Amino acid sequence: MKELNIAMKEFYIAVRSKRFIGLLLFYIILLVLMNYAQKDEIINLAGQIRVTRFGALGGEGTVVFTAVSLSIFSNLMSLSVFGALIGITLGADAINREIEEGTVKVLMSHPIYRDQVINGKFLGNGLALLLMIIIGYTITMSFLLLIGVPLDQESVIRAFLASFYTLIYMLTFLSLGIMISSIIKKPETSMLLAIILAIMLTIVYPVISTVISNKIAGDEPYCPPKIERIETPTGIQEVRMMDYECPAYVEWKNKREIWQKRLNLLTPTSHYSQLIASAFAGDELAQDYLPISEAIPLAFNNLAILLVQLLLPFSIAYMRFMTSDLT
Amino acid sequence: MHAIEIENLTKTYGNLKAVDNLTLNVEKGIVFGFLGPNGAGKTTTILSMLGLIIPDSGTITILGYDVFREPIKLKEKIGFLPENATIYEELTAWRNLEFFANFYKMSRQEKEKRIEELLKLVGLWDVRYKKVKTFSKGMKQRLLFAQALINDPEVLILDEPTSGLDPEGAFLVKNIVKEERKKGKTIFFSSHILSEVEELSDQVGILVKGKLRALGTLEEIKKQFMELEGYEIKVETKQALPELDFDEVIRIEKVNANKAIIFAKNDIRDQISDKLSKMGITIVSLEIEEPSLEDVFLKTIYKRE
Amino acid sequence: MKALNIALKDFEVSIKTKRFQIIIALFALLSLGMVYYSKRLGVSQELYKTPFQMLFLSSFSNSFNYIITLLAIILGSTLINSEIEKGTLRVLASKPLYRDQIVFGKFLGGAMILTVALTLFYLLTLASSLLLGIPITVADLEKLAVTFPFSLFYGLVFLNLGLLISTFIKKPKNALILGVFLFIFFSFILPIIAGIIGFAVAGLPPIPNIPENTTDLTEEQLQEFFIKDPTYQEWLTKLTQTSEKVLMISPNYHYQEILRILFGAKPQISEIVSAFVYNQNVVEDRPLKESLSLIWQNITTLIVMFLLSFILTYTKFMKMSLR
Repeated sequence: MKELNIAMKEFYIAVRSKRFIGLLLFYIILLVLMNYAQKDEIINLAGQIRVTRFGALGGEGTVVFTAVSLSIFSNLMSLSVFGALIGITLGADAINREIEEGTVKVLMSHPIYRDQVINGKFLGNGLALLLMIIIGYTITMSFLLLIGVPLDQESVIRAFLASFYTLIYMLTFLSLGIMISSIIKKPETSMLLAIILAIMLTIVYPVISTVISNKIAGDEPYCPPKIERIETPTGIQEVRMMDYECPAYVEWKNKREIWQKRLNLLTPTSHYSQLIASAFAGDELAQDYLPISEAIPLAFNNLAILLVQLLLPFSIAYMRFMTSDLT
Repeated sequence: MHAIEIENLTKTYGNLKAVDNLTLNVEKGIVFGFLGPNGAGKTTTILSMLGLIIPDSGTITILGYDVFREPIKLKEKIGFLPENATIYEELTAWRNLEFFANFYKMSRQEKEKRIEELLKLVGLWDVRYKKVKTFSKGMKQRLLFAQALINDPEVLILDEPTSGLDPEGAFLVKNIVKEERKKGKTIFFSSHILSEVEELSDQVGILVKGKLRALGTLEEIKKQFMELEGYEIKVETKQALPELDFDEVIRIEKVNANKAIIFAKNDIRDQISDKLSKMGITIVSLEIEEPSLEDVFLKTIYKRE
Repeated sequence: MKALNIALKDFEVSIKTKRFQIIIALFALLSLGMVYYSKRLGVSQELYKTPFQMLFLSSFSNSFNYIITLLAIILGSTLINSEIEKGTLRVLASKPLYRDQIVFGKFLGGAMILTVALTLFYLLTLASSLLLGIPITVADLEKLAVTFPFSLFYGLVFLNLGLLISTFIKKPKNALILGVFLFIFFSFILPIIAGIIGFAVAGLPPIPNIPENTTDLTEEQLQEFFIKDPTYQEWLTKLTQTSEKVLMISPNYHYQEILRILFGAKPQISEIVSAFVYNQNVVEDRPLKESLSLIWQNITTLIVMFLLSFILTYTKFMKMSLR
């Protein structure tokens, strides 16, 4: 349980750092703002269910909005960018700062293996992330209770599931951060680089991937409007078909979507967005939540890819840390 | 069995050989002073002993454990004080020691007792609940020292233990080293403060450019040095000094009519006194000038390069 | 006058740093790029009345906004703590001056830098327009002149925010990182989150009731249905209002609004959307007074932000130990 000893130390230091407290403060401000912006809508939705299509940041799906799910949905979606930043900045100096300050020399003179150190660090900072999610969750729920919106059980369960996905997403960025801190020697440099990387992956990359997939798909083909003649009591009328799409157009559209999806495979954000959409997946016909046994498999692939994206940087960090000189 | 056995240790950084085929054994229960100018490879050697640096070749065994094969068993029994390191600044003195104590098999009571003992020993008991961040440099160094003793180690490895300490702190550290030696512990410490090495160590090794230039007890080293550099004999007589032409004499520096310094290949004091007494000259003093460690050190570094 | 002395020294020091020179180079590049592109693209006469309106109402104004933000916050965030780290502040404090003179001096020095940088930018934009043969009308000059104090003030808001960081974070490098973080937060993260919240609340745009018998509707006519549909209008208002609530704390948003309105853009988002669809002007001729009355809330918010951060910096600095 030496990992745990290190994890508790990391957790303790992390949650009392100015960085964590500052980020938490920002998160709380964001939450308050979002809830303020949504207040009317949330009160309107109280006791009701709205099934709607939603798409953002590379994920899309039919989702259910109740007062609870709308509120927690926005909370968690805001973490798609902000949470990524929190995760990556917590990890970005985890290793190189200890090396720079020399504490790792002290630490390693005691009977522990190097992998216990890196595991402990991951665990401790992961706990700090969990704490942040729990605080956000509590604030959202208390806000709902405060304005007198009843919490429906189904939505609360879905919110739990989505929060779990959020934790995995943030851990992915934590491991990216730890990887950077194991590669780059200067903590300040690695921190800046980490922030830039998080912004690239969450904000810039989706824009670029859209542009690229549009380029690959080429120009939108022209579709002549389809007009059908229909016999009516007043004679033959020409009616323009509203939803008609010619084959060329369909092909173009598909090609664009496929490339968009392919390119989005690379960024964790699209998988996360898809996972959140799946957690709140709705059924348009039933006007209710999709059963949870069907909702989870919806984004199973995304979860798997996200886990790979979590483990890959971590194993790189692991190898770097295991084999490098700690001076 | 030796406490520390280093065999053919080599570590290069780019073109620079930081440690060059170093072999060094340290006996149990002694204080070993590891001397060398800056950049000689002392810290590289020490960090390799902890497995913090992975050498290009060579083996290191401490207390019979191979550093790279059985690091944990080894680290259970050693304590280490790194140079220029800090301890976790956001934690209190107590929490820091508790954190390190948690890595050893100790009961809660044992831990608390040990931490209390150590904090009192290094004079930080009154500030135990203060964050290390608020400590002065000397206080941090003392806490760092306490951390090295947390497991009551059999071998203590200290890298520049008194650097950054005020005289009082240095005195404290030296006393602790002496106490530990009395308890039969082995202490390996590097330093560039010669008086300190002279005061503490039973054995001394001098490292220059990654190579061991001298090794042994202080007396042995000085003797080796004198054999190489020549003996320096001071003589003073009541009457005027006669010519002293022995085969062993290299040269003579006359201070005045009755005083001279004789450089010789051997200790020729007996022959001198014989000759002088035969000539009826009264000897006021006739003594061999022992080289100081500083002489040895400086000459070792500069002369044989 | 002691504050001015400090300000002048800071001005001299900052102007020689690489950081400042890089940002000025960025400004120059941006102004050239802006003008060059507007020349290449040509002005869509239907949408805008003058090239300058197009410059400041298109996405170029975003980059302009980013660079002011970045310059100001980076400038401010190391102004005090780096002097503490180097120990020069201790020397300064040993001289006969009050601490508030130091703060004011620091602030003034930063303000000078900002003024110089912005003036350069404005002049460069004008110069490159003349060089590339883009016509400058008197109205444009007027509008540019009117926006200048607002741009400067906006920069000062971030300068103060930077100063606040530099009194609270001891290490200049960490402060710099926090400054970059804040820049990213206000410039990118908040707008994205605002958009997401807006869509979550408003949902996807409603499909209007299109009457049957629409045989030969053109795309434009179809769009017209959207625009005129009251549910669509309602949706659009809901979307923007929700987003604006989130953006309330963002100085960037308020400045963007100020720029937009001062350059004569139509105030309502729905008007702009329909203007784009109908290829009408997104701008209107409006007296300055009226424009100002449209944005007084944004201006007040910026003033509050300015004062708040300055007061915080001031009180913190007065009580700080200068170790």
